[in-house]
Amino acid sequence: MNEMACAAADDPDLIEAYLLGDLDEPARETFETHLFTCDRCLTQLKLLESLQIELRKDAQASGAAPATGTRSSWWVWAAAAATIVMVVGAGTLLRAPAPGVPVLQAPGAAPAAMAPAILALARVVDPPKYVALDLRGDEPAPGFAAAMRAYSTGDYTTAANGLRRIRGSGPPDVERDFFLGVSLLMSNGDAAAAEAIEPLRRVVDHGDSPYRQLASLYLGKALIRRGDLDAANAEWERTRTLPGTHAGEAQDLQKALRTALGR
Amino acid sequence: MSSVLPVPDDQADLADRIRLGDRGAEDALAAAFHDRVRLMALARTRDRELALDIAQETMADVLVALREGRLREQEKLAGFVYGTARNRISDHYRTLGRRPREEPLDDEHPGGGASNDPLEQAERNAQVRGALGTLPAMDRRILLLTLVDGLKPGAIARRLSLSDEVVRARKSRAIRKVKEYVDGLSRT
Repeated sequence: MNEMACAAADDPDLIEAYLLGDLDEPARETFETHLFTCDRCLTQLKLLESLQIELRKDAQASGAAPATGTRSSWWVWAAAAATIVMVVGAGTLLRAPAPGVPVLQAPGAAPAAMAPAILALARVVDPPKYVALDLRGDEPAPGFAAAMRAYSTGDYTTAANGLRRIRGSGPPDVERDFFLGVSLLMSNGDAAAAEAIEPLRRVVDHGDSPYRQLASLYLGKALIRRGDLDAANAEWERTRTLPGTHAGEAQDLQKALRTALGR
Repeated sequence: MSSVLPVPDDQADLADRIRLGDRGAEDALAAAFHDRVRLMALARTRDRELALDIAQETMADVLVALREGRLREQEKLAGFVYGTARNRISDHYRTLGRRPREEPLDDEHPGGGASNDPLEQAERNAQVRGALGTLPAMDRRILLLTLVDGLKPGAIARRLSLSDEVVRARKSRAIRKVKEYVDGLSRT
């Protein structure tokens, strides 16, 4: 493409959305095809990448780094959904720390007494986007769509209330439990975060699903909020063994936890 | 090494020179496409190390194909590189789960992300760092929440008690200022 005809380079929102994985697949392909023929867009993309790198360094230096080292996108979710590997018997419950997982602290420390650096590990900066994945072949429970609309607008309290209501009357559902756990984790208050533990644990224990590894990662965060650092560390150890793209993130959190504890 | 994309006729010439064993042409191929592939893989995988691996593997695949004269429409070299990169990324997702990565996203590598030209990238990063130092703290915060935390203007507005419009305007202005700062340094 003639560079003079390039409008994309003058649209930082488009290039930013591309870099952050926010474009849908057709738009992504269109931009990439263009990127391979346009130096101006490459230059702009490199600039945004450098900004991302330097801002992250600043945040890390000031201790304000995001809790998640990588950012999920709907595309990653779709890719994960497309690569489900069903493993017979993989739903074994591992409630005790796995062998070899270092013991960091007796459980039960009051959240209020925890250092800010530890509480920061429980932050969910960028909750996963909801993408309807037709994995079950049946209709979602009544009220599910409304709850997920609230979730998509960032109204996590309403989403949690809606999903909690459905849960009371419906059969087990991994997707519902996952987003209930995330919504509770995103809601204000330690009580809601503590309530997130049970649905997230159900997702992890259910076995392979597109949500399992991320549920394990968030379960660790919920355990941090409850002050159960050993259990969080053990859960992140498990996160690293599960299929998905969040192993490095879990490893980062474990390192940060050890650092925060001076180990 | 700057990335200067060859026009289609030059792409055909470049492909032909590589087929004939011209090492300079291989360097030109890497200069034109390595960073494109790396950034594409970064946008799709959110993993800098993996993106670098994919870029290197893609360029190796392309080089082998060109040396063996397997690209018939040589003027479509850019499309060939893009298709090869997509195949590499698809390969990664096909094996997802069987080969979980242990290394986290890390910006501390020399060159800050291992571009095709680490020196150029290190220089650009330093320029951007200088530009960030000229921005108001609020603008830096908005950029951080946008580009690192990945928040949308609405979420940032709620967090910073600003309106969506103000967040959008400040973000656009901040990015424009950074670009102007870097362009100014590059010209001098």
